[in-house]
Amino acid sequence: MRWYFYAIVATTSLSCAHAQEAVRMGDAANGKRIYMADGCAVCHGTVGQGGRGTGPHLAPNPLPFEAFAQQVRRPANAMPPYTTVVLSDAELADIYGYLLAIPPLLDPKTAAILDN
Amino acid sequence: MSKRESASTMSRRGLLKAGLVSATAVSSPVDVQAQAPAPSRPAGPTTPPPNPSAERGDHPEVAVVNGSSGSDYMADVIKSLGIEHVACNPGNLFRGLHESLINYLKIDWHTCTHEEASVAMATGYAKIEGKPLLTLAHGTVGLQHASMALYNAWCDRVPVYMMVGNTVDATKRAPGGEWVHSVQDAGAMVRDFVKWDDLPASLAHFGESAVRAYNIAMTPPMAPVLLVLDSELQERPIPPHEKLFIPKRAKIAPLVGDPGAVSEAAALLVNAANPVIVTDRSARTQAGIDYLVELAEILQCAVIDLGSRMNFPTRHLLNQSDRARAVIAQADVILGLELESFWAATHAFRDSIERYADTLIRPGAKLISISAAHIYQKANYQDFQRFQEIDLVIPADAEPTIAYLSEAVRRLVPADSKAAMVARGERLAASHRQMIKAVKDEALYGWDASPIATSRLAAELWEAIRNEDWSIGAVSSNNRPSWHRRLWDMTKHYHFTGPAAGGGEGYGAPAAAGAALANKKHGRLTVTIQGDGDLMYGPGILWTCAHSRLPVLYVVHNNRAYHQERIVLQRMANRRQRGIDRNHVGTTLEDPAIDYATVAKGLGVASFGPIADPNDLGPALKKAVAVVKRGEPALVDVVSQGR
Repeated sequence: MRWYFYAIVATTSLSCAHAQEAVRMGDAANGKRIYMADGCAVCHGTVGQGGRGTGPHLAPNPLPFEAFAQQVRRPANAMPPYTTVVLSDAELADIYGYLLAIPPLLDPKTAAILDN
Repeated sequence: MSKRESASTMSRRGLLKAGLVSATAVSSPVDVQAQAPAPSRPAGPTTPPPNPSAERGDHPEVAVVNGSSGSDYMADVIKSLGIEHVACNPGNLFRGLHESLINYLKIDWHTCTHEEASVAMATGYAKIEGKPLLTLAHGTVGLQHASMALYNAWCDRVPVYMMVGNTVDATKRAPGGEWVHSVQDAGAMVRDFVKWDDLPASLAHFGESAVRAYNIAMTPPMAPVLLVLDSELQERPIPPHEKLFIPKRAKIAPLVGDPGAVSEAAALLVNAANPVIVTDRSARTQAGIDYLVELAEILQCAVIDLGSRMNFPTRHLLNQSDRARAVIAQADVILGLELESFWAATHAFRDSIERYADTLIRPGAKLISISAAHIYQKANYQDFQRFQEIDLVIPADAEPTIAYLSEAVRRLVPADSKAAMVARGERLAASHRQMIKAVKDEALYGWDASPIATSRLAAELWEAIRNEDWSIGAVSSNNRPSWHRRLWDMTKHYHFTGPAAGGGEGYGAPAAAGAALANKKHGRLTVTIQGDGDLMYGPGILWTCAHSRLPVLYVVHNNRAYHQERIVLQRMANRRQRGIDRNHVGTTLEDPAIDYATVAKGLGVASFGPIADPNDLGPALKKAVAVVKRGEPALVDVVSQGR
């Protein structure tokens, strides 16, 4: 299944001088492939659930795209930067598409053993 | 009849046993001159002197020792120390002691397939039982194998009691193997991370050094010790006229902090608005936990357990471990108890191209440190961590000192401040409840994912064992901090014993086996969340568990990688902008993926998996727990998320 979204690519901080100009469609399937291949899953988990001491959860309900892109390109913490040299704006948008496609959290009642 | 009078009518073994019986109370002289050797059991040396005819092929009659050999005496001394088990891989340079231990002493023996495993097993055992077992190795290759595990034990303040064989006299070494297995100074290789070592030159020397080594290992800061045993000393008959006795093992008094300093610390804590206790390795026993609970409840202050041991109940309302930074940032007095690194507890550190650190503590905060590490350190290996400015250092063992600190605090608390302290406690209790809710909410992320989320793994395992008397025997180093400490209700000191303190992989699996050996006596169910990379350093320990009937459940956190290394390699690749799609090279355990259930089956361990569907995990764990409750080891291979 393909998931689509519209995003304003935050190119201001990145390789282009002109800001907020691009609007494109993110390909969730390709985004998932890149997410797995380029190491996002290593720290944030395969479904963006996050990892203790490695990275926060990314999905469901990811950050607004601008904030997401800013963090990827110029991280505010120990996360290494992913510049356009290794991750294009299109690929970044596809990854965001994958994160948007991740289903919402389960009803806590389905994980009742957590209350034991 | 006096003991001395009895000597004339008893055999040597009887004499040694008599000495052993009284060894814990008094030193027991054994007068070998008083023996009247029976005709069939001649005493004295029976090994012939060098015989040129033997070198020509005229073999002399093989000598037979009918009396006791040196290693029999060594075994008696070992028994006097209360040592109940041996874990080791065999080696010919301690064959004399090996034979005495199995045939004379008939000690409980656990065969290991690697010396590193035997020392890690000894470490896991000591952390639960509070005393060492005996581990043995070759003085060269065996000790080389064992060295990393000794380093883990050193960093972890664990009393490992180790002996290695060596042939000192070059003219007594067989050609070839015994030469490459001999060394001038075996202890030199590990002297940086054992607390004391010796090479006894006589049996009397052995007796004294064996007891001295035990006392040193068991005195905080506890640490490994090493005795190098000359093979000739083990194998030779006990010389006539040699007076031997088993030295008395001392009762070691608690290493309590200076009363004046304890009072000063108490005053700082009582007068603080936001005192915080940070503990890492302060509880070796249940008393250590109970003392800390008492102190925290008197003060109604926050406690952060960094988790190198189980120090403070996870569900206690004053436990704020999951919000450590916020709590430390508000503290005006911080009491550190046996911290591996006080600096790390008070700083945020960024591993970026330019590394930098920020302090977490507010200006003017007072820091107090109680630790046995202030008494004894070495220089070469850097496990002492970065220097932290401290206002009051109390060189002492924290566990007993906390009890005295509680008394001092109780005396100093003004009656008119008790209401404020209660209010502080209520605020902390509310924060604790919020913290637990946040942890459970966080656990929902990826709950149904495959590979299975680590939160789901921990929750399902908790569900399978929570009604048992359970113990997490060990965890490999890269599992910390982790879900089991955040989700489980831990109250006992044996509920968690911490990871590999030196960060040396290959620790978790054998340490859990050692813990299982200790827990077995108490009827406890031992479990461990076992890293796959850690297990592959020495999967042979699974055979040891099967062979020794150790009831332990290995739940393999199978993320098919050296995951921590994959993270840091990716960080490096990103810095250099050379592509980030090859960080699996050299860091993963894929192609082929390892089937740990099949590996375990081949080593005689009941196994389940690989399990990748989270809905299959609970039933598999239930079956595995049933196996372990029957007294056998079991393994569940869980295909898991990285963290």
